[in-house]
Amino acid sequence: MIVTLDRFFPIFDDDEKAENELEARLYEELRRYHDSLLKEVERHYEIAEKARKLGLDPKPYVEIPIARNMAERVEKLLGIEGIAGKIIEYESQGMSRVEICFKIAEDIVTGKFGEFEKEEAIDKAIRTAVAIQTEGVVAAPIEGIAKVKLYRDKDGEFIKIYYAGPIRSAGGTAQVMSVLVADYVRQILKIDRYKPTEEEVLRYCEEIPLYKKVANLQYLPSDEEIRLIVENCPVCIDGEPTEDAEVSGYRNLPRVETNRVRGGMALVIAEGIALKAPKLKKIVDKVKISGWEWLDRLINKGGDESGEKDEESEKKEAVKPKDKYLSDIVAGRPVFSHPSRKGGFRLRYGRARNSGFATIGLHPATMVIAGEFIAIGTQLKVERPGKAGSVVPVTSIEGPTVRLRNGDVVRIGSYEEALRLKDAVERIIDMGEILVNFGDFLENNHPLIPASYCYEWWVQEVEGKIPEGDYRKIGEEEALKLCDDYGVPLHPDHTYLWHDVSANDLRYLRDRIVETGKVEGKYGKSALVMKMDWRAKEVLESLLVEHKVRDGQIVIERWRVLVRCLGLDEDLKVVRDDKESEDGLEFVRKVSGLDVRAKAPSRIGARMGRPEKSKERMMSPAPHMLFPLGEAGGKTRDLKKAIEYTKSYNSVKGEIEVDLPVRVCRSCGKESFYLRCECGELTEQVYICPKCGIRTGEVCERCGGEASAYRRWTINVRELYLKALENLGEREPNGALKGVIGLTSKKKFAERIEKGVLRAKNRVYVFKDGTIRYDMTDIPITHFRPAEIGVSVEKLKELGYEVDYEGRELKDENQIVELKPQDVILSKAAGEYLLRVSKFIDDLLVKFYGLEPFYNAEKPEDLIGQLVIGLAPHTSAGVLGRIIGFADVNGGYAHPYFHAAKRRNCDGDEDCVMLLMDGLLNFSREFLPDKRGGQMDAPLVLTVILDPKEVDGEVHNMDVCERYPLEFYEGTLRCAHPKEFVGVIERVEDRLGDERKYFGLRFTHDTENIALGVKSSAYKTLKSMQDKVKHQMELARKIRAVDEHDVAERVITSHFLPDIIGNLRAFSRQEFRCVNCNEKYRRIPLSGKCRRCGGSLTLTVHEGSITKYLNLSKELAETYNVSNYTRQRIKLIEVETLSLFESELKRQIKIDEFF
Amino acid sequence: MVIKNIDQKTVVAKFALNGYNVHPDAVRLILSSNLNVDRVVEEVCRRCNGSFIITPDEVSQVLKELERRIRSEEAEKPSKVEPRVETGGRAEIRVLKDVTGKSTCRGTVEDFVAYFNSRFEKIAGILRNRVKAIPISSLTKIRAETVEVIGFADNVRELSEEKAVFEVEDKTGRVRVYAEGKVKEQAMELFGDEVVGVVGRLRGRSIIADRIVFPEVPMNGKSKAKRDFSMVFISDIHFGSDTFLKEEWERFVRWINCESGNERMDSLAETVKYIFVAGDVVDGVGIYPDQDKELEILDIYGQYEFAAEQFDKIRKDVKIILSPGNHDAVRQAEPQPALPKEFSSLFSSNVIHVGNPVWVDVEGVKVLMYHGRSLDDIISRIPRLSYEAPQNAMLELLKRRHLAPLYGERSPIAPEKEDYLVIDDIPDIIHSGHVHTYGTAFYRGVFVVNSSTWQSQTEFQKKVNLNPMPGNVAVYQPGGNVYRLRFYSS
Repeated sequence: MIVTLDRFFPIFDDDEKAENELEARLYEELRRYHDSLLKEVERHYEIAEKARKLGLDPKPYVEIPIARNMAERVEKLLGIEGIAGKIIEYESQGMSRVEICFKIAEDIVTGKFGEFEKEEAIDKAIRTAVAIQTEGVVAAPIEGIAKVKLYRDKDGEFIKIYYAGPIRSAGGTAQVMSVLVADYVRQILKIDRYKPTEEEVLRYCEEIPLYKKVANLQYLPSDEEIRLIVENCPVCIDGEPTEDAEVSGYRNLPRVETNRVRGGMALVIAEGIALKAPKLKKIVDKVKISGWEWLDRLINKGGDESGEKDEESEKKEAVKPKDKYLSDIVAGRPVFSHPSRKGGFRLRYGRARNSGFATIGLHPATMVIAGEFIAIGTQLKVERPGKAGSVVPVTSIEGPTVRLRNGDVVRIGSYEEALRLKDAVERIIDMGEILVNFGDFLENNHPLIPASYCYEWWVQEVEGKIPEGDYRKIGEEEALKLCDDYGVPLHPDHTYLWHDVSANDLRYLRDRIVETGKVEGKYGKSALVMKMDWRAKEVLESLLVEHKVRDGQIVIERWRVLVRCLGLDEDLKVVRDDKESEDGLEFVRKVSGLDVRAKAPSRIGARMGRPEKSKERMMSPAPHMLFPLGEAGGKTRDLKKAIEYTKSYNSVKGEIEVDLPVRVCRSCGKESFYLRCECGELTEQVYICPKCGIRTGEVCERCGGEASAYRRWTINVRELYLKALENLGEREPNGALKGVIGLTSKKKFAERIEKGVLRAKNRVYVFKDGTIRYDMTDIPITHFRPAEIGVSVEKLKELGYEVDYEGRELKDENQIVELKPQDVILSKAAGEYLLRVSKFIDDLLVKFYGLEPFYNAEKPEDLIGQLVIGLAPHTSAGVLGRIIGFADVNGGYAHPYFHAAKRRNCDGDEDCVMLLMDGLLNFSREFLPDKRGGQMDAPLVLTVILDPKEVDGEVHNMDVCERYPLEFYEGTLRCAHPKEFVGVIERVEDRLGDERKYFGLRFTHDTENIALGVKSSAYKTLKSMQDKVKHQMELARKIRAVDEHDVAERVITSHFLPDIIGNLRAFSRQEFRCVNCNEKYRRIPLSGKCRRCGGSLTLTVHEGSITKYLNLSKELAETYNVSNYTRQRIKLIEVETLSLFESELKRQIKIDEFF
Repeated sequence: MVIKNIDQKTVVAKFALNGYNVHPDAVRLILSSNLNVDRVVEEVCRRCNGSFIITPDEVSQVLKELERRIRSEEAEKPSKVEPRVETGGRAEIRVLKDVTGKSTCRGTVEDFVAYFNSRFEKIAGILRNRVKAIPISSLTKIRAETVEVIGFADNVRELSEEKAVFEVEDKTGRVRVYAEGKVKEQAMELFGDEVVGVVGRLRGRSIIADRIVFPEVPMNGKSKAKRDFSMVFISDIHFGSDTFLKEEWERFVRWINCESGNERMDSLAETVKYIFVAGDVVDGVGIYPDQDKELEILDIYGQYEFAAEQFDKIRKDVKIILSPGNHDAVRQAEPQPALPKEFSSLFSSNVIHVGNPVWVDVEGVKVLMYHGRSLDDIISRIPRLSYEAPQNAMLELLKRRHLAPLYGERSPIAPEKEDYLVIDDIPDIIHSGHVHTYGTAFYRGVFVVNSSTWQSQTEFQKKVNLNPMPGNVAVYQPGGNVYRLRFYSS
């Protein structure tokens, strides 16, 4: 396929005028950027087409088509001719996505795209709706709906949709759209509605909670909600069985085909209709579909019954501690703060150049102090606003405050300082600030909670009131002077956490200072020295006042603001007192006469989710090629073993029996399993009927049964291997050369062994679809410094970057540059792996296809400027990306648009990149597994130019302004809803109308270096579970905001005990496995030997897997204050394991031996 | 166990299978020995690697050695534990079989092999009286119209309305069996882990079954003499649960103490000498997720203390035989030992703690008590069975002579060397619980009872549409009548 620019839409409207010179320049830069991407892609395709034409692959052409936009992706995904044109037509008429879904569905059932059977038309209409709703990116429309059926019984006809597991990837909104569109076409076609029987309703009520138990659901609707949905939904939501679990109550119902749990059904009802009822209601109202009035009842069920809430109670609701994020806690992944606890993460609003879009900004020092469990890219589960986010380093926020073993309290301000002090830390008094952007609150529909008093806020308050100047870092005296001279609030750097202590505590502290304190060295450097007093010290710690402990004295170097706030003068005499206040902050405001603000009114609880990742994708065992070796390759599927294999005593070495396609040469008529026959001509696929044994079409001519595209071949892999080496002119690669046991694709098309040889030589591994993948945690970035990603200014200029983000000529590698939407910054390890991949591709081009090398890369930096495909699991559309640099982190930095195009946010998920040329040369649909979900995670189409309008809408809520206005900060104090600030704080959505969506984005916080911080979480570097738990508990004891007893209890009850019990139950009903051939036995054969190969059998659940956590649980229960109930559970389990794994007779004999 | 009806031909065939010829005198030697033939054959073949014909000399050497080895093995075994005899008043209770204190399970592969071999041996032993079985591996060598085999029947698949196929496995191999018509219906109810006999015709390498022979309890014609005492059967009391029916329980205790105030009831109570409790005495801790939210007593000791207190209110001349269930504080895998000392010592002396299952002889009446974990599996496997009539599911146990004939489902198994779950000794009464419903039946002379519960419907049961029948008590006068008492009125 040759792509030319003119086949694309004009990306820009020429009549649009840029507002200023900078925009004009960026606009021009972007046009050239898109142009160069297209040209490069075109060059790739030309070469790949040439290679594929040789017929050495399953198809003689490149199998990743280019889709220019959503409409084309939909058409290519579903294969309905003409649908793209229609979608574009409706789009140009200004119809919304939702409206288009219904319109297109109507067009399909009314025959605008050809005559279909009623059932087929409904099927296509529903799938199209889901596809449009998901931008044609995810696999849900093809994989998530198993089938649609017009179900007839004696009472008439109704529509049944059979959902499958992959419907999950569609998300709630697209799921409900499928139901709604089905009802819409039902009404057009005048089909009766579904009327469930009482038993069917109860079946749903039993099955959905059961699914929640065996799999997981975000939201479990109550029985009443399920009943309401099932009784009123006019189409039947059915599903394929996805779990092994069976319902036990309502079985063998005539209209429900299975007793097993139907995951797709449960998802659509629970996470679709029940959870998205308000959204559904909006759509219903807009499109005006009748019969959905019952949604109101569903919506009201979930909400508060009391109706109108006053502002005060709403505010309380907004800041109420939530401990949901602590459930399902995993051992070894620490809790960093309990919900809204003093000492936890202090909320600061803002978006750094490397944050936003479901991320969590932390100071690199916090990462270090948190036992190095938090690394860049590590997922944190948080109390609010969302559920989780990836951690990114932000140096322009505050780090943690700790008490050292010598009693000193230090605010750690830098990564280096943290590294220096980390071993001396005795207690973590405060975790530091957490940076969350406004967009994340809006996206999660979470009320704003009071903001920390921070510089961004202060500076807007004092603007115009104080002389111009740089007030970012000011001394105590200046801070007090500003207050006194201009009546402005106290600078946030000098604001302590007064609200965390009581007025009485402050009076106590003041009295101690008055009684025992004195200021030493008044001129020049001075310090307040007071007698050591534990209670006073504790108050100082709670306030986060830095101090030292020397010779039984507390030494406070920054004392002026402190004493002023306590109502003392510089001679430590009481100037003003207040006997009434109870609250510490109130007291301070009264006695100091200063406008002191709340420094940390909102704390956010967090625990570690999954660790960050940057690793090559390996199947297990990891093959070098998709070539079947059967059992001949041994357990490692090694070709080198297979070539020595003899089936029986006198068979030929290397001769193996495997399933491969049946193809026949057009010219010489010889059978082959490859596309090209030995004679040079192409072969054609033929089919063999397994029953009649005749060669036939896809459907058997004789019996009408399904014919098979493959048969059992006897092939000599020794010969094939030697031939491959000869073809390549290569020597045997070192180490194993792994194939697969058998192919799972429909026709069982195999790769050429040559590809395996070259992959093994270059130490790269193939994925199920023929491509080579590299996985990384998604992290966002909108602006970068050339220096931090290892790219030179010259190279950047070559790549089309001419100015920095403020429009200045790019000269210095420390200038901040705005990232172009499709440029990616990979991890260093990714660079090294992709370098090997590039060498493999070059080898392949030269030695296998006989073409010129393409990459010629010698070091990772040589790959800068090369194109990659980004692809997320559950999706079927790749996104074109360009490498512009590498950062030493375990994650992939890319523009939020790029992540959104893959339908990802940055909440801790990972996805992959592959080299574009690898995809074009090696990907084939023929390799994809022939099973539900097989089409997922494969680049079925490629989006070349990314349009922010057509990416996951979540990113449209990301804010892109330079600062949040004063009214925003004030709004947070009354827990305003973030919707109030839509239109006030600029977001991506506000830019979608014109080309400014591509450039000119801003950020509120800078950071020194996007790679500054812990690189690899301690969770990964600590190897044994014992160590992980030990460090986790050590950290729990250190952090003030963490209750270590609760952590121990939760680790035991939500991880260890379920694990032990699960294994214990599994033990006494287990299967057995042959150590030689891996054959499984439900019940052990009487002979105790494998029936197939005579090998010895082994347990699949061992004593070790049961007891591994038992001792750890016991230790935890002994050390920490764990509930009696939990202790007893552990004890009973121990008794049970003893009873199972220790013979009582043996024990008796042992005792006897003593006498 | 020595297999009696083994003839010379079989021994010769056994050797032939291993590729050996054997001298007739050698065969006689083997038959005259008291040792397991298979074991001897195996040992001889191992020793005589490569020799053309096996001589009597070689055999006698092996025999001697084996005898020595067996003697020493037996010496290692502790001497047979005498049945515990509990006497008190006129009551006489003997525990015939119980795993308590005798568990050999160490959880190894060998344990599982030994366990299933024990199951096979025991049930095959029962079947051998009715089926003249030959080893499956010798089927290929035999030319006979009809063949008979014994083994585990599994992998049942329905081929059509009329036809099903399954496989039978004994120690020597496996064979495919086709079943048609009425036999097919029988085959469809095979669970996959029971030992049965198959009588049929050899067709190629498969057998066309004429008959599936279940080990069954034999027709027990002789009517037992009527006794002058009654037994009460209860189970699943769930002390400690917040759904425990306290009032109903107290009403029951008043009745048993002859204080119901109803003359007829009181006179029936007077005849009661024994109470059988088939498990789930307490609700336990950590039995299912979030159980703490449904417990009245969170502490397991507290639960048993409360249980002991309640039992203590029962008049002391009544003996209470108590076995554990899946909610009790013992291992869940069956067979379960009796409650450990720390719990059992809380109870007064008229409470006798036994394992699950247990065979108890009470004044000559044999009672098999089994909690009934496997009933869940059986009821969900056979569509014609339901929780409303649990006694019918129990009949399936008797028919198969095994208490947990489904492996790998919900019933957990502890692989003991001996399979305690085989019903080798036919009881006069079989008593189960677990399913929380009530039902009684007489089956081939055996009184079958499932004894409901003292817990009202739980949240979980509501979800899975299980309607318990709490407070139903069976009173049985051996050889006489069964009374159903209802202490719960909904």
